Amino acid sequence: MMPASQLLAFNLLAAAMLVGSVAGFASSARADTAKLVRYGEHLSQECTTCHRRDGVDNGIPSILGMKSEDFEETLKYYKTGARDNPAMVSVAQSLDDDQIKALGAYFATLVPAGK
Amino acid sequence: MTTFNRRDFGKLVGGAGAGLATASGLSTFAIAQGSAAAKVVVIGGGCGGATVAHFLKKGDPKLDVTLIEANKVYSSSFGSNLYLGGFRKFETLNHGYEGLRAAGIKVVHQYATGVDTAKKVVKTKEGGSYTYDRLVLSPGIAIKYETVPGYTKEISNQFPHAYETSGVGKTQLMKLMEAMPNGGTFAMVMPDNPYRCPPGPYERACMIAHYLKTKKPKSKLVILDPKKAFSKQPVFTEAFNKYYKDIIEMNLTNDIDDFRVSMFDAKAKEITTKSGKKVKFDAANIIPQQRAGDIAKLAGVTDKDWVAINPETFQSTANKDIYVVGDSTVAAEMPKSGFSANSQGKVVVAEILADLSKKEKFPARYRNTCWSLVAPDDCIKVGANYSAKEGKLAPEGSFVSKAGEDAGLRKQNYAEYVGWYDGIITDMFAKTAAAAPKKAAPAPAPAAKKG
Ligand SMILES: Cc1cc2nc3c(=O)[nH]c(=O)nc-3n(C[C@H](O)[C@H](O)[C@H](O)COP(=O)(O)OP(=O)(O)OC[C@H]3O[C@@H](n4cnc5c(N)ncnc54)[C@H](O)[C@@H]3O)c2cc1C
Ligand code: HEC
Repeated sequence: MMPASQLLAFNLLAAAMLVGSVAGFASSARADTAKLVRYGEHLSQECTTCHRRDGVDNGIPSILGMKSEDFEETLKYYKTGARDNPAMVSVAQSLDDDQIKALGAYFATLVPAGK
Repeated sequence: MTTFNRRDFGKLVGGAGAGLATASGLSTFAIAQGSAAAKVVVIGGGCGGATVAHFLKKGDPKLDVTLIEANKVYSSSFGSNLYLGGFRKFETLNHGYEGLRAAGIKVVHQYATGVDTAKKVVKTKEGGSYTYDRLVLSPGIAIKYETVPGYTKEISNQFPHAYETSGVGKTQLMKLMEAMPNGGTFAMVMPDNPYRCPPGPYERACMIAHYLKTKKPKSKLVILDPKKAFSKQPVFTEAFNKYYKDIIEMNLTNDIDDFRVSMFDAKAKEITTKSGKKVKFDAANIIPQQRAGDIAKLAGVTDKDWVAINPETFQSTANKDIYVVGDSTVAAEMPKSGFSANSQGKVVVAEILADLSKKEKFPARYRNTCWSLVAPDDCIKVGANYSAKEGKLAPEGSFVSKAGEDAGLRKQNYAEYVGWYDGIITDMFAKTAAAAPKKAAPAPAPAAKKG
């Protein structure tokens, strides 16, 4: 079974893709978003070895449903070392701005279980 | 079971026509037409294999994914040292395959005994036969008992290595500790490189020493190590001196003394080293040299003890239909760890999805992080990301704990360790939340969360 959070993301994505392909250029912005989210979902596989995809925090914080601006800002803090957890600094420094944007777009679509 | 090599395959195709040769091409075509699904068989439901099965099915629900795993319960090696130290209950290490089944993966609890690489069929001890378009192997390690003279598989029932993925070694180690007299000697024999989980044996030493210190404080832990140096050595050495000075006797090989075992005598309960040192013991944990799990050799993809892979894809260099991940591969400089196996598995998933399901392909990303608990609330970590360069996986962004660090930092590491265990298990076995999260969506706060 897909958890509710994934289902939601999945639906969003499917909807965006459908609209993107049917309505052509009018919704190319939405298609771009879908592409970004898809890239973010792919990249998120690296995060979920530590951060649970369902938003449960048993020692590593949940990163689901963060506003994408907050998300991007936080990752930049790690990148510069303003937040200095070595594990996350290593993660953030290996990501370029496009990747951070994609991840932010993806995680923003996920809703923690029970919300 | 016969294993065809690639030359035989060529002959077969030459003789019998093109039908065989296009077996995989056919089902790729079939998928494009929306009919029969392409088949992926995964052997080994551990860190590498369970991850591959989970993410393949997630990435393309139409794929026919079969996971062949010998055991109904996966009893993780990672985290098991904490059980020995009394920081985890044994049951918390054990996990089932319900989540993967529910996700639509065919989980088969059988033991794979052969691969016909020409016909693309896996055979099992139970008589099962599974055809594939792509095969993924993640069988973990097998133990080379003969590398410790006098040590055998049979003796390991009494004095375990507790290094394969199975529950029995760990509980036997615990029984040995419990049966030991206060004032007795526990002997530990360390492996030579390369081996599964470089810091694992030293975390185990800390956990055994912690048990002895709290339950049998007059006892000794004598460590015999064939190496001259080991993983996270400065921080482990700091822990040995800080917490276990009266318990641990560390014998690291140097230019004068060679502490490689020359004889292990289970009856006399005595170990002799190359340099002539003799250790009488009450309990012992012997960790011999290792090699890739048997099925890798049977599939014809091993080069000596391990499997050679293309570091960009984890495709076997000997057979392009076979991907191999995890401990059984040579993935230098990525360490053999559960984290690495999980990370490599995701790269293989992207390869197979691009190949069989025509999904968009993104560049491979590899990462490892390993935490080790050295004493209550004192946990150290090491990690890096890796990228394929000149036939190797080169580390970047490396970090490692340092001696003399703040206690708060070490305690935070322990919280992460517990969180990671839970995270990777969820990720491997497609578990989902029963409980609501403890915290709301966080806002960025650099000052509040330093360290
Ligand atoms: C004491 C200890 C501590 C460790 N601590 C850590 C840690 O803190 N962090 C970390 O990242 N790693 C740690 N590790 C390492 C980690 O356990 C391994 O690196 C990881 O399990 C490797 O994954 P794998 O998929 O290669 O093999 P495994 O996880 O061992 O999975 C292999 C699976 O394949 C099955 N199998 C094998 N052959 C067959 C066959 N022919 N047919 C059917 N099934 C088969 C086995 O039953 C097994 O379930 C530790 C290891 C040890 C021993
Ligand atoms: C090795 C384990 C690990 C991996 C892999 C990892 N993280 Fe983290 N992450 C952590 C830890 C531990 C923290 C808490 C660090 C701290 O205290 O600042 C954290 C914190 C965060 C935070 C801040 C959350 C908060 O509460 O403020 C964000 C955002 C985040 N991670 C995103 C990611 C993304 C995106 C990825 C994948 C690209 C990722 N992480 C991969 C371990 C990890």
